[in-house]
Amino acid sequence: MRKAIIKATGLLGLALAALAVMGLSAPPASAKVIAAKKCLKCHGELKEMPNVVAGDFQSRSNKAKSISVMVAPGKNVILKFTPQTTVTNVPSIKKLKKPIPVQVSYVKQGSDLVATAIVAKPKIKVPDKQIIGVKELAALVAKGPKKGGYTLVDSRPPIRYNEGHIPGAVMMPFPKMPEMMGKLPKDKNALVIFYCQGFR
Amino acid sequence: MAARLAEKKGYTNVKVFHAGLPAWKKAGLPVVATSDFVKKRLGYIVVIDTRGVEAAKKGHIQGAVAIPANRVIAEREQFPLDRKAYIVLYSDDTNMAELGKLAKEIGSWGYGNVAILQGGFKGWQKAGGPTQRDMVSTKIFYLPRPHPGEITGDEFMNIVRNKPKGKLILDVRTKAEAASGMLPGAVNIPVDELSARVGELPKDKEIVTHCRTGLRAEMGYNILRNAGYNARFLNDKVTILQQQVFCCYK
Repeated sequence: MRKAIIKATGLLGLALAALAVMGLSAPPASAKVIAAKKCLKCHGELKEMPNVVAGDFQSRSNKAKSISVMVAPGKNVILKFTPQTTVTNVPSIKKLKKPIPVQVSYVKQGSDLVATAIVAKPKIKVPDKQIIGVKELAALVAKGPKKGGYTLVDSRPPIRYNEGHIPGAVMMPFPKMPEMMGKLPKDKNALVIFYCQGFR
Repeated sequence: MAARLAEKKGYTNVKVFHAGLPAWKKAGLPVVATSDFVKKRLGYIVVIDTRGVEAAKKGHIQGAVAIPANRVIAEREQFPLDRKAYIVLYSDDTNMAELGKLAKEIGSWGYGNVAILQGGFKGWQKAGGPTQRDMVSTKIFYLPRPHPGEITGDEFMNIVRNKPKGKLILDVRTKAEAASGMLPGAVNIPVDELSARVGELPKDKEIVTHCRTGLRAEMGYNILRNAGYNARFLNDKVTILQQQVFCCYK
C-alpha cells in the first residue's frame, strides 16, 4: 500500500516536472505555429512562418499598448504594439474590431511579443447589383418565403443561428454548404439571399 | 463566399444581405431563437411567457417568468441591469406581429440580445423542452452564465472582503492608476509588465485579475494562463474612491 502511494506521488512529481518543462520550453513565443485551425485551413503557409500569430482579433488596450488575438477557443495570445507597428487593410489599430481575423508578425523582446505588422483579413467585395439592403429584405421577410418567392440562407455557425436569426432563414453554415445544397430551391433561377455576421 | 458557391452550382439570382444580422438588429427588426438554444441556456437567460399567468399555470417553459404581453413594457424596471442578458419572448406560437413590437421596444432600452422563440410554446413542447405547471413566477430573475476564466462580481467581492489564503488579487492597471487607490491586499503589476514579471507571483495561489473595465484583466488572465498559472479574471468595472470599492455595475 505504502509502495503504491510512493509510486503515485512519484508519478505525480514526474507529471509536474513534465508540465514545468513544457511551461518553460513552450511559452507563446516558441517556434511553434501560433495560428487558429480555421486560419490554417486556407493559409498553410503559416506553418512555415515561425514569428506569426494568426487568429481572431479580440481586444485592444491603449493603456497596456497591447492587443489580444484568439488562436483557439479559450486561448488568447497577447501582443504589444508600438508606433512602428504597421497595419494593413484597416486604417489604424483603433479600427480593428472584433471579430476580424488578423495575421500578426512579431519579434520577441524579453518575455514579450512585440507586433511589427498587423494584417487584417481584407473585406470580400460584392458587386453592388447583388447587394440587398435592410429595407428591401425586411419587406420580403414580412411577406414570408413563399409569397416573397425567396430563400434566405444564414451562413453563420449553428450556435449563432440558434441564438437568433432572421425569421424564415434556413440554417446552412458555410463549411457545411456543399452537403446542404439540397436545402436550396430546385429552380436555379429562384431568388436566393445569403447573410452572415455582416461586413465590418 | 457562400454566394459564389451557389453561383458555381448554377444559381442565377443570388443576392447578398451584406450588412448582415447586426444591421438587421440595429434596424429594430426581430430575430427568432430556436428551442435548442433556449434549452441549452435555460437558467442563464430571461424567458418571458407573454401569455400571462393563467395560461402559464396550465404549463410553461421551465423557469419562465409570466408577464402578459400588454404588461411587458410596464415592467421595464424588472429587467436585468446587464444589457448583455439574453431575453427570449414566447407565446403559443411564433407570433411575430405582437412579439416583434415588444422585442423592438426592449431592444431600444439597450438590450442587444432579444429574440422571439421560434414555434412558441407549441414548438417547445414538440422539441421536448422541459416544462412545469405550478410555481408560476412573475418576477424576472437573471443569473449570467460566467465565461471560462471569468469570476462573478459576488465571488470577487467576497475575496476582497474575506481575503482567503489561497487567492491573490492582481491589479493589472498602470502604476499611476494604482497609486490613486488599490483594493486591500491586492498586488499591482501593470499588464504590460506582466509577462516579464510573472515570476514574482506565487504558483500555489489562484490569481484573480482586475482592472478598471475588465479588458486588461482578461489580457492579464491570458498571460498568466499561458505561463501555467491558476487564474481567473473579473470582467467588470472597478472604481476605488477614497478607500471605497465600487464594483460590478457593467
